[in-house]
Formats: sequence, structure tokens, C-alpha cells
Amino acid sequence: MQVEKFYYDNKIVRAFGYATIVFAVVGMLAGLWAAIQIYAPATSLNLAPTTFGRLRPLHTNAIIFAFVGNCIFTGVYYSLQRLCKSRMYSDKLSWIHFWGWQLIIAAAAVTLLMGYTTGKEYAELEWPIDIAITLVWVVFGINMFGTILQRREKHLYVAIWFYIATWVTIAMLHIVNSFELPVSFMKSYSWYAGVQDALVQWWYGHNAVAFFLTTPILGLMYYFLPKAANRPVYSYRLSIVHFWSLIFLYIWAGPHHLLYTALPDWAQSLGTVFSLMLIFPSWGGMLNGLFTLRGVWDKVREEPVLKFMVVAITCYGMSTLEGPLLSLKNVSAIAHYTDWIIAHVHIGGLGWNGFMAFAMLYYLVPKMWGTSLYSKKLATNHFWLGTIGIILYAVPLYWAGFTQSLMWKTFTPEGQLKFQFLESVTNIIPMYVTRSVGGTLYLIGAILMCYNLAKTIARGTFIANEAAEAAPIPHKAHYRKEHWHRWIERKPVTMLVVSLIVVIIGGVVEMVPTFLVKSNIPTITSVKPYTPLELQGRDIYVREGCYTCHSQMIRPFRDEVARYGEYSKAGEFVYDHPFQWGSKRTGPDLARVGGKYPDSWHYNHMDDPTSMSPGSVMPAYPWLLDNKLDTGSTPAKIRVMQKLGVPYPEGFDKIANKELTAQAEAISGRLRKDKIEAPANREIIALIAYLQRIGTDIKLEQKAAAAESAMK
Amino acid sequence: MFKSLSLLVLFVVSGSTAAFAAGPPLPSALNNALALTLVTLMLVLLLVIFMLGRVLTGLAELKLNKEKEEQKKTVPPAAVITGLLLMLSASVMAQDNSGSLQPVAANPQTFGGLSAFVFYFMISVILVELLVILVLIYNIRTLLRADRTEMAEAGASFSLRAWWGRMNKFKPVEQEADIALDHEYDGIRELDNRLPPWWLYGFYVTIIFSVIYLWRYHVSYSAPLSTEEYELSVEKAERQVKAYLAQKGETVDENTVTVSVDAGDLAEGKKIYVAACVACHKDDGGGMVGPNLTDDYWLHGGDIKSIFKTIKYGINAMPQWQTSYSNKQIAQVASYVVSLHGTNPAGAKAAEGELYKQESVDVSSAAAPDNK
Repeated sequence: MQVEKFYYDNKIVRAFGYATIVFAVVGMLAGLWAAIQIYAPATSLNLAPTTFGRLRPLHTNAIIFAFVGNCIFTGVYYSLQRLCKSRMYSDKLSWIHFWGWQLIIAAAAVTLLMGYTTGKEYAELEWPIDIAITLVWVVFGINMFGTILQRREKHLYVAIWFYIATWVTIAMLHIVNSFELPVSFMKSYSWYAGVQDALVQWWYGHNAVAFFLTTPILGLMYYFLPKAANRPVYSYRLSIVHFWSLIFLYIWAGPHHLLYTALPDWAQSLGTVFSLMLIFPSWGGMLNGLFTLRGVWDKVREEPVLKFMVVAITCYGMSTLEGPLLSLKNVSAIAHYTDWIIAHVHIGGLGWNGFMAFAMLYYLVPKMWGTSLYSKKLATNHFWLGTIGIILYAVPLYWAGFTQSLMWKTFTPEGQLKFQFLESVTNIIPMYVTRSVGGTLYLIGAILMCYNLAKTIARGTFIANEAAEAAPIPHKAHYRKEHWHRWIERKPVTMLVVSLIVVIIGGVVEMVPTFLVKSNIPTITSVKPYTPLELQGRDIYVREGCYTCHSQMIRPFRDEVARYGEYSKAGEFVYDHPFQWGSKRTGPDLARVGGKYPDSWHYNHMDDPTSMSPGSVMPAYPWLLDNKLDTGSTPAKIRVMQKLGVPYPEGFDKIANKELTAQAEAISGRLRKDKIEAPANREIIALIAYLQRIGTDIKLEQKAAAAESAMK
Repeated sequence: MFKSLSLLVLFVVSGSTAAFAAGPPLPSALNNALALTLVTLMLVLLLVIFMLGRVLTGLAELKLNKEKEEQKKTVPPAAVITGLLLMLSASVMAQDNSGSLQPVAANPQTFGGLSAFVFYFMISVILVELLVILVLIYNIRTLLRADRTEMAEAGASFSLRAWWGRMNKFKPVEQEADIALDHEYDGIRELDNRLPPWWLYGFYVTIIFSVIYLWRYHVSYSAPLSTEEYELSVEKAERQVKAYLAQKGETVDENTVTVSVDAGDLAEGKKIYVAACVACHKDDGGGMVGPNLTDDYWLHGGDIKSIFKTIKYGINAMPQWQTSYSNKQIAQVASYVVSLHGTNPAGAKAAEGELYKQESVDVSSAAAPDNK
């Protein structure tokens, strides 16, 4: 067989690598800033773009899609070429992918800070960017499959199985969850409403963690760990079993983000059990990683790359045990909405994703520049700073979450709630401070890495095209008796299709009944669509990212009903495009805030939260008092809502603004009575209208029922 | 591998038939938390037995092979295993019987909802299982000890490393070449190590747990769903609060509350007022967001009982405070509000609501004109 000579493209790997480093620092800075804002709200600078509600989505998107995203592409572009014994299919597509992705990130940063958001966590980007993501993802897919199809290696290595599953599942998740109807350029409403939107969103949200933060990184682990340790992978059959069980089970687990909510009980239970069954498939990856190091543990003491990997894999094991335990209802009852979850995800984010990325960079840079690392000592310092940073980050937050939850749930023997919500926040401020110290250490470590890598690069010469040679696959190959799984390893397209089938099942079983079976979302007749003013106010609520700190979902617990009111029902959210249940309570739940305070309270509170609740850590929103409400968008919004099935009467879009003005005037009048001069055309009026509406419809039904029984 | 799998399936099936057999005669048996715990315990112990059995067989095989090489004699320890397995299956069968026997033993005495017979039977099955485990451990130890003295090689007594190695079925690194697969990718080779047994059985346990979980919540309805759980917890809490208040003798409510002029009560009332009310009613009661509390006009009634009710249950924009403060505390703050009457603070809000003449407490302010 003729041996062919070819070159690996290292340039594209270098580009993605640089992007990884830049966005690591940017994403972490955004996170640190947001973390400081929680105990020092003044650091929001009283500016809309830098306030927590917009900064937090920027942080999560930057870390997930910019930092980890670029890290994945770096690793895939490097390893895929070598595992397939082929240059990437098309250099042009590689660069379209690279620049496309960076443009998306830039667009995301700008639009998120400007307040363009769909209000769905980790899927905040608006519809034009969603389309761009889809296109770039397809480019990546073509380039990846092109490379796989022209490979000179008969079988696909386990890392590539993970890449394939990642690609196909992310495509599915992104497309299904991003179904939205545009109102204008940069504004859309989710196709789904309320409970259904929540189910789709957390099916997406959970599996973004699974298939963006986990499976591709596992693929990277399967390439870089044996390379760095120079050891054979521990167990091929463990790879097979844990790969298929992982991707099949993961997709079901989304509803564990919605335990005790208005989601039907059966879906919640599926979320719980499938999360629990995930423990061992996840641990399969951990074991296969750690056991690969058998016999070279002395090397781990020397080699920073392996050090980072060992802690990363251990963190992976810890958070994939913790996750399923958090999915048990009685644990979720304590942990959900608290900082426990924040700690949990950062064990995964800082430990698993961050450390794997660092390990990969420390491995790749010397390789591609044909030199050795500038300073192992500096890398070891980075390792320790990072590790201590993770501990200082996570431990205080576990403590904070647990304490706060217990405070929420404590009653006096007389049967009253013992603590005001605010007390539970001020009590954990010291933990928030410690957490930001941990984050700072971690960031300093990353900056050390930048310096170390820059020095390494300076002393090496970049190998842009790395020569390699291999024989092509013989056309008529004979396959004697082989392990059954070896067959599919020769068939990338079959692999793709089978993976897709495996990951579709869970979503279909959970979603189809929730969408089609009426009894899952019992109708409440008194629940009516929002008025035009309330709808505009709701869009402001979404724009300012209120959902990043406030939930709108009262769980059926004694303490929550006592604190917030009647627990939330599925039928209350049927007109909520998108749903705004939230996932964290840095502030109290707002599901029944309507009518709880006077209009003037909200007005003063938005201007300066501490004026109404001294000690509050909520940022001020003074611009809402000055901004004029954009009523030009009202008719279009009404029309889109009608298309989505919201029963506004025919032709309502034409009179909507008249109704809007009347309601605004009424609120403005009430404020005047309380000695507040607020013109009716300000955004704050719309927001107040929305806040005063939330969760009140169901009370009308109760009132009607009470009146009826009084008549009898 | 497949042998072990099929064996395990057999065990699981026999185990679960035992569980189901316990079900029909006493419909709640499987719904009973105690019964479930016991059944789960039985299953887990069965798994332990199975794993130990595997270890023992493995050890015995090893020893057997060695002895075969030396000379063919001595009783093969496999016989012991067969005996044990027989014993085990007997216990499983016995479990099956328990179901059908149970109605005969109609015993009024129950344990956590289980009839005495079932309870004792389950306990004795567990004891037998424990006994089997002990015997297995004893056998393994004996074999190991014999091994050790023979080979006089592996380090002294029990070592965590050795135990961990067995739990994972580790192959010594030196013998890796035997299980290395014949392919490599960019220099990466793969071994074909067996699945770590504890990992595999752990996986099975989570699957069994999941089936039981779904069964309990959605088939037998023996575990409370969210809203049922809520109702139960509220009921329980109400009982506790009632008992506590009865024992404490605190009975004030909106029907019995009276104005207190006791300095202690008013001081407590003021404290609460400062904490909860000033944001809307101002520290002097002159009103801001909320109405003026010092004049003669009341939106929702100015008598102490009405004030108490307004504070306790809230109305319109006024939040309810019953979840934050006890009746006694609400009575104190209501008395404090009454004490503010007629103070006529500067910059007070205009009167709202209906005129209410305070009955006796102070006559002077009753004559005061509107603050218009």
C-alpha cells in the first residue's frame, strides 16, 4: 500500500487556542464582577448594561460558548486530524467556522449588554444570532464529517464518538429550544408557553451542560490524557458501555431542574430517576480516565498537565455524583433556588471544564511550537491557585445555600416564619465575599497561565503545517470476525444516525404528552392574557434579566405558601411566552407579587431599593424612571402573540395602544396621589403594571367562588 | 462477563418476584416504606452475596488450577460454592412462599403496617443472608490466608490497595500486554479491562431503585406527590402549632383583642412598627405610601379589632403579616398604632376613608378638626 504524505493544519488550532485564552479571562472577569455586585450593588455603576441582570447572562454565555466552546474546537481540530490521519476537510470551512463563531460571540456580548435577550437561560441570544449559530454549527459539522469521511484510519476512536454525539445533539437542542416568533429585528417570543416552555428550556439547559460541557470534554480527555500520560486507555469496553448509556440517559434528566414546580409529577419523577441512573455512566468516564493513569502516578507529581487533568476528572466525578443526589426530591427541596446550585455548577465549570482546558493548553502550546513549557513551576503555582480558588469558591456557597434554605424554612413555634427574606440574604453576605476571593485566585491563576504560555510561544517556532504520513484505507477491506461494536466504529454516518435516535427518545417521551395531553396543564378560566401595558412591562422584566435573581414559581411547601402565597399552578402560565420561573432566588419569589405593595412602593423601590427595604442588595434601576416606553412595537407584539395562540380579540392590535395609554394614565394618577410625579409614558409605569398583575388572576377565581358561596 | 450478567439477571428476577409475591395478599405491603426498605435490603444483600460468591469462585478456581498443576487431589472448593448457592436459592424460594402463607397467619400484631409473620420472615431472611455473607467472608479469608502462606509474597494482612484491586478486577500493570487491543490511534492504545464490578453492580442498583421509585409514585401511589406532601405537612404543622399555643395559654385573636396601654406591650409594638411598617406609614405614622394612621379616618375600620384584622390578613396594598408575626405581636403593634392617634405629625398625609371616633381612650383628639 502506497503511503501518503500530508500536513496537519495547526494554524486553525492556534487561532481557536488564542480565542480560548482570551475568552477565559473575559468570561471570568464578567463572573467576578457579577459576584461582587451581589454584596456591593453600587458596583453596577447604576448603568443598565453593567447591572447584574445583564452581566450574569454575559458571564454564563461567555464561559459556556466562548471559553469552553473555543476550547472544544481547539481540541477537536487538533485531535480529529490526528485520529483520522488527515488534514481537516477544508481549510476554508475551518476559517469560516472560526470567524463565524467569534463574530457570534462579539454579537452576543453587545446584544446581551444592550438588553436583547429571549429570557431563557443559556439560550438568551435573540433570533438572528440563533440562526447564525445554526449555520456555523452546520459548517463545523460538514468540516468534521468531511474529515472523518476522508480518514486514513479504518475505525473511529472513542473521542470521535463523543464528538459526533455532541454535534448531533447540540444541533437538535439548539433548534428545538430556539423556536421563536420574531416581533422585530432582535425581539422575539418563544414558541412555547409556561409549563411547556419550561420543559423545553430545561431539556435544553440540562443537556447544554451534558453535550456542550461534558461529552466533548470527555472526548478531549480520551485524546489528551493517554497522550500526556503515555499510557493505554484503561478499558475499551468501559468506553462503549459508558458512552452509549451516558448519551441515552442524559437527555431525560432535564426535569430535575423543575422538581416541585407546576410541571406534571410524572415528568418530574422521570427527571429524578434518570438523573440517578446517570451516576454510573458518568463515573465510567471518570474511572476510565483515572485508571488510565495506573502505573504512572509518580508522573502526576511532576507533570502539570496531568495534575490539572486529575483534579478535573475528580471534579467531574464529584459533580456527577452530586447532580443526581440533587435530583432527589428531598434534596432538591433544600438546594433549589439557593447558592448550593451555584457551587455545584462551579465544581463542574471551574474544576472540570476550566482545568481540562488549562491542561490541554499546557500540552498543546509546547507541542505546536516545538519546544518545552517555559516554566513548570509557574504552571504548578497556577494549579495550586486554581485548586484553592475552587475550594474557596465552592465551600462558602455550599454553606450559604444550606443556611439560607434552612432560614427560609424555619417557623417559630407559634407558626410564623422566623426570618424575613432579606435577613436570609444579609446573613450570607460574608460567604459571598469569600466566594469572590476564591474566584479572584482562580482568575490570577489563569493570568499566570497566559504569561507562561506567551513565554513558551516566544521561545519556540510555530509549526503551521505538521508533516505526517499514512496509508489510505484499502477499498475492499476484509473484516474478519470482530467485536460487534467495531462494526459501527467503521461507519461514521450510521454512528451519527444511531446517536441521534438514542438522544431523541428521552425528549420525545417527555415532551409529546406534555404538549398533547390536556390534563397535564389544567385550564384556569380566570387566567387572562396580559394587557398591552403589562405585556410591555413584562418585556422590560425580561430585558433587565430579573429572572436571574427572582423566581416566579411558588413550590407547594408550607414555608413558601406562608411567605409568598398560594403555590403556583400549571394553568397560570399559559400566556407566558417565554416562561420566567427562574432558577435562583437572590431576591424573593415574585409569582404573587401582584397587589402585594402599592404602586408607589414599586416606583421608589426601582429608583432605590434600599429606600423601601433597608439592606437590600438589589441594584437600582433609575433609567426605568426616565426611559420612554416604546409603544410603537405594541401592535406587532399583539399580532405575534395572537399567532402563538393568545386569545386577543380580532383587530386588538389596532386599539392596543389606546388601552395601554388608559392603563398607564391610571397608574400615573395613583402615583400622583402618593405625591409621585411620573409621566404615564415611562417604562417604569409598564413595569409596575406587569408586577401588579403577576399571579393575581387566580385570586379573581377565588373571589368569585367566595362571592358565590356568600350568596348561597 | 455474559455469564455474570445472566446470573445477575436471574438474581434480580428471583429477588423481584419475591418482592411482588409479598404484594398481592396484603395490597399495601409493597407500598409500605418498611417493607420496601426490607426488600431493598434483601436485594442489596443478595448482590453482596453474589459478588462475594464470585470472588470466592475466582479464588477457588485459581487455587484449583494451581493444585491441578501440582497434583490432582483435595476436595474442590467449588462444592462449597454450590452448596452455598443452593442455600441461597432456597432462601429465595422461601421468600416466595411467604406471600402465600401470609393470610393464614392472620396475626393482629403489626410492625409498621406489616403483619408480624411477614415482618419476622423478612428479618429472618435478612439474617440468613447475613449469615451466608459471613460464611462467604470466612471462606474467602481462609483461601486467601492459605494463598498467602503458600506464596509468602503479598504484603501482610489486609491491605486497602489489594482490596481496591479486587473491587476493580485490576490486572497487574505488567500483564497488560495480554489485554491490549490490536489497534492504535495516533499512538494511543487501548486495553480491554473488564468493567469494574462495583461500578457495574452500582449501575444495576440505580436501575432497580428507579423502577421501585416510579412504581411507588405512579403505579401504587404509595408515596405522596408534591401537593399531597404539601397538604400533609400543613396539617402536621397546624396540629403542632395548636398544641404549642394551647400549652402556652396564648389565645388572643381578632375576636378577643383589646387595646393595651401596658408600657411593655407598646415598646414591643413600636419595635415591630419600626421594622415592618415605617416604609409605608412613616416612623411617626403620618403616612406616605400607606395612609395616615394618626387621624380619625380609617379605610378599613379604626377599632382595635379591625386594625388587628387589617394587619393580620392584609387588604389591597397592605400586606398580610400573620406569616411574620404572632397574634400577640400583632396585638402589640395594633395597640401601638392606636397609641399614635392624635399625635398630629408634621407633613402627614390627607385623611382617607371613613370617620371613626375612638371610644374612650382620649377625648381630646376626637374634637380635633381634619388635617385639611
